[in-house]
Amino acid sequence: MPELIFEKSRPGAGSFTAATGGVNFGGLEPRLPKRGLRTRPLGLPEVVEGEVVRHYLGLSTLNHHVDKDFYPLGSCTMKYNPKINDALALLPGFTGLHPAQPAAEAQGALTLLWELGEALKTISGMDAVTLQPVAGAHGELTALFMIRAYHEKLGRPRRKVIIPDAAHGTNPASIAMSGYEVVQVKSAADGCMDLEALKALLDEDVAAFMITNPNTVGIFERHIVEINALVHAVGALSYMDGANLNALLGIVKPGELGFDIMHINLHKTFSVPHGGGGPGAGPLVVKQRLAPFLPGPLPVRMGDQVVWGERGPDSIGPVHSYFGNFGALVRAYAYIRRLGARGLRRVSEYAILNANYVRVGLQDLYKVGFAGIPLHEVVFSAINQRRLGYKASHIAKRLLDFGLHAPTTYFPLIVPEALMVEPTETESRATLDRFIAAMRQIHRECEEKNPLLDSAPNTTPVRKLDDVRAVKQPRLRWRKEQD
Amino acid sequence: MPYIPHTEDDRREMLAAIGVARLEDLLESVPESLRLTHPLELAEPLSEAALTRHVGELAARNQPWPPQDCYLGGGAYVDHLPETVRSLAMRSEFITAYTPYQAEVSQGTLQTIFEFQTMVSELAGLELANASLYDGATALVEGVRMALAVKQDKEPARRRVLVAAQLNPRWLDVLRTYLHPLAAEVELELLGAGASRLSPEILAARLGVDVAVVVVQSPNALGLIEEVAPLAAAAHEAGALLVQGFDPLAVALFECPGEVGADIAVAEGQCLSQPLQFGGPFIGLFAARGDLAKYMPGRLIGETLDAVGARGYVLTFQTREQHIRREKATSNICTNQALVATFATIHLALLGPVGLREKAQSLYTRCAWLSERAAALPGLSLVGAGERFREFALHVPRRDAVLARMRAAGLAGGLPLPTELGAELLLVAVNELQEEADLQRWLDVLAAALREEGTHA
Repeated sequence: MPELIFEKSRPGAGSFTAATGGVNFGGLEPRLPKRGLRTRPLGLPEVVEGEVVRHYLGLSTLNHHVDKDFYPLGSCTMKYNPKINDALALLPGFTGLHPAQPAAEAQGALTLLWELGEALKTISGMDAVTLQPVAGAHGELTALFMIRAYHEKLGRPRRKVIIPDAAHGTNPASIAMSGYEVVQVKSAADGCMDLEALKALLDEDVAAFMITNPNTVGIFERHIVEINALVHAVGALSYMDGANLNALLGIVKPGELGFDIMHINLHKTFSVPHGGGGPGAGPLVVKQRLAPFLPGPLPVRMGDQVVWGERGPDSIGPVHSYFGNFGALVRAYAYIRRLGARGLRRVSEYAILNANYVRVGLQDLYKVGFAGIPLHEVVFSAINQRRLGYKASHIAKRLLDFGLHAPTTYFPLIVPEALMVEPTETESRATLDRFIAAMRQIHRECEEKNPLLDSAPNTTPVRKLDDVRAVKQPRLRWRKEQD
Repeated sequence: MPYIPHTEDDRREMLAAIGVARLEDLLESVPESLRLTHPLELAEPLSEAALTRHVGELAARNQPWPPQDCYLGGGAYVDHLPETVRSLAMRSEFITAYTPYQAEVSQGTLQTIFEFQTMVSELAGLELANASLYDGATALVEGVRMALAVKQDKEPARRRVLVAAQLNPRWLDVLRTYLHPLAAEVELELLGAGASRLSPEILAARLGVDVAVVVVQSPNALGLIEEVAPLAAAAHEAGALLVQGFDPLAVALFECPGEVGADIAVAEGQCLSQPLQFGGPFIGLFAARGDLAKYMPGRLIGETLDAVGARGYVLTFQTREQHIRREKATSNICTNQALVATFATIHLALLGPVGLREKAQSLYTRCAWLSERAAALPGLSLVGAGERFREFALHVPRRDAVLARMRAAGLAGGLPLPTELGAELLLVAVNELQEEADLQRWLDVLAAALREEGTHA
């Protein structure tokens, strides 16, 4: 592996400001504080600009990324990220805008926020929106704060939130952070919600029910309307985790299914690049009865102007320093405007087509987790391969040798040896064929007990990394004395 | 159709392979009664050219201030970001990668963030730093939550959170939002309202065996450097932890959190990484004492070896995280601000220790020069005494009218502070693109505005 930037440091070699003709003191006599000065050395690297460029360019080439090749990570929606969206987000009229500038000086930005909010309401069938949350988990947490505020307003916050056992880990973590108890309900044999099990858990201490739809095995919850009615019958609210919204655009509106509140991952469904782990955006759309609890401030249209509405007395308050990840919101807006209604419906249709094409291409060798036609993603269980002595993780690592990214592994927890594949609509049939061929070859290798499976990955910039060592001998930062 | 590669033949043949006739047939699991019968009511699609024009027109309706005329701060700052940073960090390889779950094909992101953790740890002077949080406000929230978890593990009765009233008001608002649901177990108390700094005496009077954490920010919301060391000592004496908000540039000049005894340190990293862009993406920096690793929120990258003994990097200590620990996780953080961390890392690598210090000194110099002259204007007074960094708070009679006049003269003269911090206060932030002549113009315009408002004879 390459050296760390710190290992390339030579005293006196770096300093961008000195190298560019000295620091700009604006023509003033430089001054230093008289007291409270730092005495501890500041261990930043000293590397000249050209070497810094080579260092990070070199590092960048070690990444797999969606501009390079297939990224079938289930539940992550790694679709193509249009370049025009990045360019538009970087227009100086957006990047130079201070968040404290009054609305009159930010009409373009406020109009964009308002229009994006309206589009998300239309797509979701909901009544009100906040764009403040900057990630899916942040949206979930904001929703739970609102759910709590709603019940408090009615008299008491209630105690529990119900989730399926197949839920994303962020669901229970967010529930705990909002002061609620997590109650898990077992999935039925078909991978969907077990209605009877849910009924047994519902009572007037339940504040909300959270579900991903289509669920984490890619299947639409066919009893969802009935489920939501049961939830509402005990006075609880129904929350949809919108992580899998890429399956539903223009096909169903979650608001019409009875959901009260939903977050949307703009960095999944609406093509905002994932950035190696953010920045994303996790707006929340809600029904009217929850609107008073939204975090403020919210953009409001007044004639041909958009202004910041006053934060109402029931608002939970802000969840971000300003208005969320504005740069991500510009990208999502551009995406929606570029595609329009027909384009968005196509997105979901072709995402579903691609997932099912992979399903039929592999189902004779890899057991499909649950019967039926899944929507935008398909979950395989590597139990056939397990019998041959190989786990899902072997298959995942071996795929890397083919220049392909691995599917999501070991999730959802209800499928043993899970391999969750979400191709997205932007992959061509040729790419899917290449993935199917690689998976089929890997299955043959399992039958042949090919040693390349045990040593995989074999062709990556580093070989299989030792996770256990990372925990047992923790090194969470660089230190000189290590060498 | 944009971005979808399938030809008609592809579609037909793929449907045939699946064994259905039409795309609709794949929606079997969606009850027909629930399916939309009309297209979504959205605006017509735009070509890329038309989209460029449309969004370009929106951008043109904004009125960002030229850096030399912009004295707005309060947590979001004008800073020069070298072109090298943008050029490298905006590469496809960084932008279009996912969270580095498959470490062997994610070493670019992983090593970069490992370097980021090292840099944040150096800035804060604390052993540990995580891979980033959403922004300064949510980093503070996570710091307070972590400190509560550390203390309540052994002493569940420690439920009070003491917060210096001179905390960034936006951070305070977000902290209140997050702590409200825990109101039964956690009590937030503001200290020293009306003062310009938190004094050890005021803190001592409120400390007790039920206090878990003390929060102070330096430089504070008035731009003043706090004397954190005695506050930390007092907090520790009472068995509480100290969480410090810091500024990643100020620590190049002034004592860092680790030097003054902070247990956890958090900051807004926008000034190192991103343009203002209407408030986001920003980035939360988070550092803590070395013995608190198991309580850390968010992602951590660790160094390890591969199967043939070569060095490499992985996501580690994942047993703290939501996807393993679920409701017992230290935080719900999943997606964070990795790309923004990449910007910050490259920027800090370019600056080095000398460059960062020079940059900080250039802001310190401008702030000192301008604040002295502003205070000399008749009728105006500086809030607080002693050292400041980057911004200063000024009491300005008829503040809003004066500010409007400055605006009319082509200057964003400063940020009006909420009355909780004092009446008619103006927070003035300098930036490194301003020259002496620009600063002098601010003084002249302010003096003229004061004259026109008749605030002094």
